[in-house]
Amino acid sequence: MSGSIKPSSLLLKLKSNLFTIGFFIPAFLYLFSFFVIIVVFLLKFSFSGNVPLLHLLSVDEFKAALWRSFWFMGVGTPLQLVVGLLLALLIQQSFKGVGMVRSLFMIPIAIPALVTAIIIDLLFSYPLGPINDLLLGRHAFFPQIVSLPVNWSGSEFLSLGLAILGKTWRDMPISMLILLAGLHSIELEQYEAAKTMGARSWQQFKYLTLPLLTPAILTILILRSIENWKEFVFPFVLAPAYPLLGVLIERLYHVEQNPALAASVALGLVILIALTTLIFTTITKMVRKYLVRV
Amino acid sequence: MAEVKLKNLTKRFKDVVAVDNISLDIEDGEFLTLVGPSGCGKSTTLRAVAGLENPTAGDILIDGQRVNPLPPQKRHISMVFQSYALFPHMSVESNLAFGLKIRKKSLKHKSEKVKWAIELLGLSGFEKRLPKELSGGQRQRVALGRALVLEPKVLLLDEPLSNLDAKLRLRMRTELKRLHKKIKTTIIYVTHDQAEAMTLSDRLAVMKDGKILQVGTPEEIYQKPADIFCAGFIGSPPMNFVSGERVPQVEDKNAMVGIRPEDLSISLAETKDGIVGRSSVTETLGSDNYLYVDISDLLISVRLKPEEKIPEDKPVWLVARKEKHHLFDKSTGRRV
Amino acid sequence: MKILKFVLIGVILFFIIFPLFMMTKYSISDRESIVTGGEYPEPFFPFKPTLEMFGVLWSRSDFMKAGLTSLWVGLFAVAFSLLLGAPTAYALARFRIPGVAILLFFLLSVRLFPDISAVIPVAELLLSRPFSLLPPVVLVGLAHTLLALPYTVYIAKGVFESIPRDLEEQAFVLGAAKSRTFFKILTPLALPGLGAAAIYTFFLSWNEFIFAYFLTFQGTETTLPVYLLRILSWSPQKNFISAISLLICVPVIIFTFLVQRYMREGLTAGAVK
Ligand SMILES: Nc1ncnc2c1ncn2[C@@H]1O[C@H](COP(=O)(O)OP(=O)(O)O)[C@@H](O)[C@H]1O
Ligand SMILES: [Mg+2]
Repeated sequence: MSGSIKPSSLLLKLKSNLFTIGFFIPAFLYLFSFFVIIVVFLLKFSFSGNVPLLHLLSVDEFKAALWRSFWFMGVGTPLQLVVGLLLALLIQQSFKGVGMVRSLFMIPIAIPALVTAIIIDLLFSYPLGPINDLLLGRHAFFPQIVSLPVNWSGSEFLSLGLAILGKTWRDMPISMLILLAGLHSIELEQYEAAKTMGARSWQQFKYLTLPLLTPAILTILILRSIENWKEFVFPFVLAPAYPLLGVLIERLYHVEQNPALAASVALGLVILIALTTLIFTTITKMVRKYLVRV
Repeated sequence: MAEVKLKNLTKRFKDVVAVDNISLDIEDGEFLTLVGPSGCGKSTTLRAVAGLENPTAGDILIDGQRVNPLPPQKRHISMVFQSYALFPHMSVESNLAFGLKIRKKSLKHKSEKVKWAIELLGLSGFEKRLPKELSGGQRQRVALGRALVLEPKVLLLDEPLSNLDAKLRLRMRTELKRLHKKIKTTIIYVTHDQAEAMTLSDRLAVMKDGKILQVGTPEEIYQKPADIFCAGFIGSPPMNFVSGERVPQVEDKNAMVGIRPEDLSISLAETKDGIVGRSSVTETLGSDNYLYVDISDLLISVRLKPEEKIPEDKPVWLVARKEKHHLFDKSTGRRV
Repeated sequence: MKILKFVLIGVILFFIIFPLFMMTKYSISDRESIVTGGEYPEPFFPFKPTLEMFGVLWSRSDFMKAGLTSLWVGLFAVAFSLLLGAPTAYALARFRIPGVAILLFFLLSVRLFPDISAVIPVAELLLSRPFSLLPPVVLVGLAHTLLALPYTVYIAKGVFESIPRDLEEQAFVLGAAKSRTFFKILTPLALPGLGAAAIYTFFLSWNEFIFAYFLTFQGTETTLPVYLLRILSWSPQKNFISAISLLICVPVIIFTFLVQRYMREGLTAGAVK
């Protein structure tokens, strides 16, 4: 393909490049123009509105939503990590039917988030619903725990808790798959070597699994925290009275008909996510450095 | 240090019999090698001794104690794996100290032992490196050191040299042998490489299809192979096999006759009792030259004396002294 | 240890299956099984199972219309993202492009925005002239193409990379033009893999809520998830809402099992973004 370039081969080269560019351009252009449109619109709106981006923090609604989103992220992320880790560990070693179990563990991701949220809403409905039935001791097999039905959607703590539960339920296959890939990259012989040297199960977990899984764990912490910051569907259905940032954006846009403020919050969310990613990436680098030299 | 006894050991995986009723006595301080083609059950045997596999039947005794119910760490063994299985996130030092840490040894004991291993194996200067920053030979030595610091009664080595390049493999062979002289631990060594087995071992056990065919010193097995398989497996180039009816000196025409290449003499003139064939190519293996002779459907290898030259495609006569013939039963393969 | 493991697997399977079981149960429940008046607990299996709700849905034109809209939006997204994405994937898989890493970053960068942030500009754009003149199906389809395109490119790139280069070179040697090679020789070979990308895109669109919700906020023509949400505001009965939910889920669950491998790749591709 190399050698001296004759005019004819130059032409040929150009032709073949044109072909390449022609192939490459359509998708690229589509995505890129949307990218530009999103950036320009967000910036334009958020600086043209009566509440500039930097003054967002003086808006009470925003402050409350930010605080809730922060908690949603802070509680949801580790929870989703632990659940994903548990699932991955359970199907790490192959046994009869492991393929089936893995397929079943994949089901939640197939269910639309909205449907999941609605099912949870049905299960935790107030005053009459299956979970309240259970807690009130109306089934013979379950002890009574409360004396009055629980109004889940009426409490900030409970309704956001349900939203976290729903998010965790639906997304657990994602964390599971990433961790499973991490687990499978640890060789069986390494565990066996540890075993011959006297390491018990939990010591193998502590000295081998956990440190070797750190990259996967940090990936999940980054991805999950992004996902949780931007969550919309679950809190929208399950905790409409206590908006997170995502829900606030929708409300500002549709109910209050204030696209400028909505765009400001939307941009704020983008910045928050960028910051979180930056922080986690830095932590990742530090932890890796620390782990590499024990 | 300890002696190891295997009594009627059998290991079955579903429909595969990996180890088939083997018995073996390994003496204190001995370097014993399990040798055989890949898939013959060597690793499984070794792993059963280590406690990584549960035998289907039979007993394993270390120092007279039946260890079947004991977990690996209570058997006073150490094992080196083919892939080395070094912990990729730990430095050389941490890898070496891992077993001692798990056994909750004192800090002083730990650092002394690690220092000892580093000096013994020539790893000084590499203490802080990660496995991925080491050469193949260095990794190999870390794996060995990690096993040795635990002062095992029995050291188990599963093809420890097979991931090294040819040159390094030869050097590590010598190092291993020297090491064994120095520490005098009982070693059970697994390899599929017969040359490695011959040079390293005090005794070797030749395995095939889960069974031990012969146990003996390298010389015994080389000179008196008990089985046609052992005869063909040990030695390079391998022993020649000719049916009895084609060798004039042999009375038992139903036997298979095995003759090593170095036991054959060759002549361009007709020889009494000689087998006639046509000379073919000569292969040079450094100091030795081997000539291949075509006797109708068979290629026979012959070691030439130094300076001996045989032209290609000429009729030649091959003969071996009768006491150099190894006779095997055609149906059972056992020596007769 | 082993027992604990299987007990845990059982417990987790219970938590995965239970909500889906309840949805199914509600969808075939008779009135007495859901309207208890607090006199008795809801049964875990309906007193008199009935398929009545599905009949009701079958005869409701608004439901059927939402179903058709979802279908068309999905097909539009599939067609459009394959049309745009497959050639790009081919170019990425086959030709050395200078600065390809940067291009790839831009290709994926649009997905770095949270949907709920990106939807505001997209809605502002698509709901104003001249785009607003397009039918809602196309608008939502365009948005879903935006979401699916990076994954389509990613999956299709893998597909093309798995087809031996020799084949094309053979075609070149025989004198075929590049474009001809692509359409006549490669596309049929890549079809099964591209089919997986198509299925992935279709169900991404089928499940998608945020963009569909914002883009069809005012109109009557909308997709199933948005229809489901609108129904919710009438406080309908549990069996009605569950029957719709079930009908939305069933195709997705079936196809998830069928294209699980690609699902997994798609999900872990998300990890790389
Ligand atoms: N965990 C296992 N499950 C099933 N079969 C096995 C297992 N380990 C080994 N085997 C089988 O047992 C036989 C002996 O294996 P191995 O001891 O590893 O042979 P070697 O080390 O001599 O190459 C082989 O046929 C192998 O396929
Ligand atoms: Mg082996």
